[in-house]
Amino acid sequence: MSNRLLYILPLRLRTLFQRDRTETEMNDELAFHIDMQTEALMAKGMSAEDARLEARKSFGNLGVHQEEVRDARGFTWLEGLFQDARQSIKTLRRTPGFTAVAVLSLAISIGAAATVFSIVDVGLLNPLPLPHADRLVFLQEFGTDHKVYNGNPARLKDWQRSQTLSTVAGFYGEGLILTGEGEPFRVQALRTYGPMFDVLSLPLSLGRWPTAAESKAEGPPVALLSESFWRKKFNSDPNISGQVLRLGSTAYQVIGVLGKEARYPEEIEVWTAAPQELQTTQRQAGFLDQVAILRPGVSLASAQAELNTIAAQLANEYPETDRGRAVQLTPLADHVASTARIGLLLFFAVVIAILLIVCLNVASLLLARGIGRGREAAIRVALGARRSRVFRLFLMESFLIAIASAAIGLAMAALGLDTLKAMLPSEIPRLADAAIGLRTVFATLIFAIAAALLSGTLPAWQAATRAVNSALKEGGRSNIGTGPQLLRSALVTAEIALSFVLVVTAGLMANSFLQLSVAPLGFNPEHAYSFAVNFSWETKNSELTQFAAQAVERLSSAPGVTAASVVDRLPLHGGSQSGPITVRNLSLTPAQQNEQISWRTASPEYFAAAGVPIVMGSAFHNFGGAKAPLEAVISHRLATALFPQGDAIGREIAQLPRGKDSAPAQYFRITGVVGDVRHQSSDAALPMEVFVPFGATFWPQLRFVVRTNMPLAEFSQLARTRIQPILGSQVIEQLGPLSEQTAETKTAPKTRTLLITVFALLALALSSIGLFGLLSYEITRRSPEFGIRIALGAQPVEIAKTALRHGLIPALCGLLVGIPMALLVSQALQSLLFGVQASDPRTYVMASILAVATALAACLIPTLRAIRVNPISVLRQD
Amino acid sequence: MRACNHLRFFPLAYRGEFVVSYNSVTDMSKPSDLVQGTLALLILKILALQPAHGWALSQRLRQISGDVLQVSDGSLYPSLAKLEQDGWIKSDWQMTENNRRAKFYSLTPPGREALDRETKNWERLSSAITNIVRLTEV
Repeated sequence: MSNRLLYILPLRLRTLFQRDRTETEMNDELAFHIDMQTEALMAKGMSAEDARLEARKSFGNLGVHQEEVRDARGFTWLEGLFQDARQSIKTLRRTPGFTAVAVLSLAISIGAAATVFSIVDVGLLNPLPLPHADRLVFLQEFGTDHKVYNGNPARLKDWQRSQTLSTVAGFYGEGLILTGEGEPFRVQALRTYGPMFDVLSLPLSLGRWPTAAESKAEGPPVALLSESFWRKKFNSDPNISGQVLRLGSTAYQVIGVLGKEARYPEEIEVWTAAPQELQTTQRQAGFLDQVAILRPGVSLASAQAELNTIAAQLANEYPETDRGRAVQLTPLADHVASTARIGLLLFFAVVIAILLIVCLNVASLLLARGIGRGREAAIRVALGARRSRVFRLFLMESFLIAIASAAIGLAMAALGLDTLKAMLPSEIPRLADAAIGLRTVFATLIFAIAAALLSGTLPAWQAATRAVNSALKEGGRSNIGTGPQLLRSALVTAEIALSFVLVVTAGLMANSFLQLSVAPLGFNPEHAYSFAVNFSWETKNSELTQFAAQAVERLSSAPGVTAASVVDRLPLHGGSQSGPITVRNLSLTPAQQNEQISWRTASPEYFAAAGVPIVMGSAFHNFGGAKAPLEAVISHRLATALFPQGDAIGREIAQLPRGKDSAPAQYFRITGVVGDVRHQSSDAALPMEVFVPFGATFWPQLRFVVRTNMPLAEFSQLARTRIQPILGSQVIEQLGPLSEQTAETKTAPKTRTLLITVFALLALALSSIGLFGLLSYEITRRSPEFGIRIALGAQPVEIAKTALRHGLIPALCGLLVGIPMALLVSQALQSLLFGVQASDPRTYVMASILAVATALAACLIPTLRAIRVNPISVLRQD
Repeated sequence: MRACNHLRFFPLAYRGEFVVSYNSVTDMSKPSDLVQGTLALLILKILALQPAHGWALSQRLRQISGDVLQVSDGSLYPSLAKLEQDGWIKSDWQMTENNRRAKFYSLTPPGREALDRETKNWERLSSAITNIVRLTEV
């Protein structure tokens, strides 16, 4: 069989690339046949004329046979395609206005889709550029109350019992101060437990891996550097191995540099085993992130089932600490993308919706064009074109439009990607890696093909089917159109429904953002500055307390400072610890018993410095230390929940001790109630909080909050001169206005709202263009009718009613379809909303009014044209 | 609506039809598979005897099959093109005895093999059919 190819291939290539020659040869051959036949007949005695006629007759229809030969030659579809393409380009060039509008609108929407896809591609589809990324899982522990716990080294070891996980490792991040390389500065270190590098299959670009003993922090401490840290801080020194790095109080020997692919966990500069004293801890401690690799062929579900069994065993073995703890496996890629996921998906959905609306718009335009070209299609069919061929010719136009749009769109995406990247919140994984690569080009091609089919199929089908029966016999305008016009109305309805969904989404987002902006913060960021001093986790509490007290004292005593304080975390940055509480001589309801109360530590002046109002009583009076009285301040919401009679002052509150062998409850006497501070920017509910003196618990990440009227530069100077003498090897970081430190949490919702609002308005504009086009055409089509009616004395109001009906019916139908769609879609977005319900009736009413108003505006000009139809000129036309 | 609908625009006489006496396939410009296959077999057989150009082939076809296969001359060419595209026959331009340029067709080696194979198939099939037809006559 294969040697047949020897004859087939050259022939087919020749037919493909030497079309003209093949065509000539065919004509020569057929002409030769007729000549020969004529001669043969003449030899029989026929006259030359009769012979030629007879020869032709016996040959049959020349044109049909030619077509059959072309068909038999194969590749005709390709030839036909070229032909169609040439034909379509000609047609498109004849209507530059239409072509420009279609190409430009598609280019913008395809470009937007391509840009967002390039971000979705790295951020959601491929957030972990690691081998076996599909087998990596994240172990998240939960309590009975579904509260998230972090792991601890003891339980981490127990997970090793698993047969479905091949290796398990844990880690926590820590900022360490690097000294001995000029000015001390902070490096982001990752403290690892177990074979972290094996689990993540990280590549090594220089040096060696730590030994098993070194991974357990046995022997002299060693460290691996990240590629970017090595490049930036050590100028890619090839002899880095063996050098000593002083981090905090410990000297680490550098043993190697990790490859560029080591990007999870993000922004780590130094990788080192957790210090010896933290390699084993009590079981109730929780500070680890845990990752594991599934054995090949093991499903997530079976691993989960096995871990559930192990968790049950552990609950039996360690009832005090491990009872009620569950574990949940998530693919690591999903875990990495988790926070950004819904925002990104929403964004992607929005650009796809825009693309859809544009496609419907182009389809509507093509339909209108198709009506005008009914005659052309009919002639083509009359001249022997198959209907499929007409269909293909008309579809070819939308393909050409889509391909051109894709090319322009890609260029736009390449130009716009960096701007978009700068606008998006950094929580999106691998945002910096997003680029217009091969995958984006491929996706763009798919968008283009989908757009071509979506916009072109219906108009092409219309043209092909109507060509047969509409035909040439009816020249008049009046009889064409109702079918396609109905279809166009349906398309416009769909556009309006889609844009309504977008408008509602944008409305909800804007509303939510507004709520977020006007919601009382509970503190006053004006005229307040903050800075951080981060001690290592090994620092003794007494040392910390001493430093904090001294620093606060030194700042408070400075002229111009109203109040200076230290706190564990800034407002809007969440709490540092949380757990259930107990109150002396008060029985809590079961709900209250399970409530997670946030415990925070602060110096007494914190409330004054941050501008948190004291609602009742006073702040605690001491800084907290070994012998200081245990006092606390609780938030207003907690106070109303626990002591509705307003008798909070003087009551005693404690963290509920966990397990039998832990210390007995340590009660703090409540001295005051303070206003609620919103700590979770997207949380609708205000947290219930207990503030205790700074020295009462351990938290080495100090945040200083200072209230003063001095400008930033002056304060910066003051802070440095006052703190420097006691700073030792620590550094002052993140110094700036408090408003700046706390504004960060708002950027994600702000960007989201802005982008979606822009897109929603774009969608609205597009759908009203669609409506405008539809109605304009309808008015033109029916202008003879209007002319007659006006001539017969119809009032302008009557005419306007008729005209408006054609515009408003699709608009109202669009709303009817759009409202349930929007209700459905917005449910999925509830987690992004603050202080607004997904079904917020006000937003829906506003969106409906906006949609109807835009529809009316789009109808205005065509309707006016209908009223102003001049009966005489219209009647003369026919 | 059928795909051949457009043919209504042409007078019936101009339809390039492939009329076969034992099968009244009248509305299609493409012959049925069976007839197409038979025609292909005949072409291969004739070309196996001697390379020929289209007109000669049509003459030969008419001589051999008489009036049984009424093939309009033109419908020979699509079959030739198809056979050539499939690699069973090849073509080249040569001079005829009367010194005119004509496209001569000849069998390719795979074409010759195919002819042998198809001839055997045809013999088997036709004898089987003949037997059956005779049975019904009894």
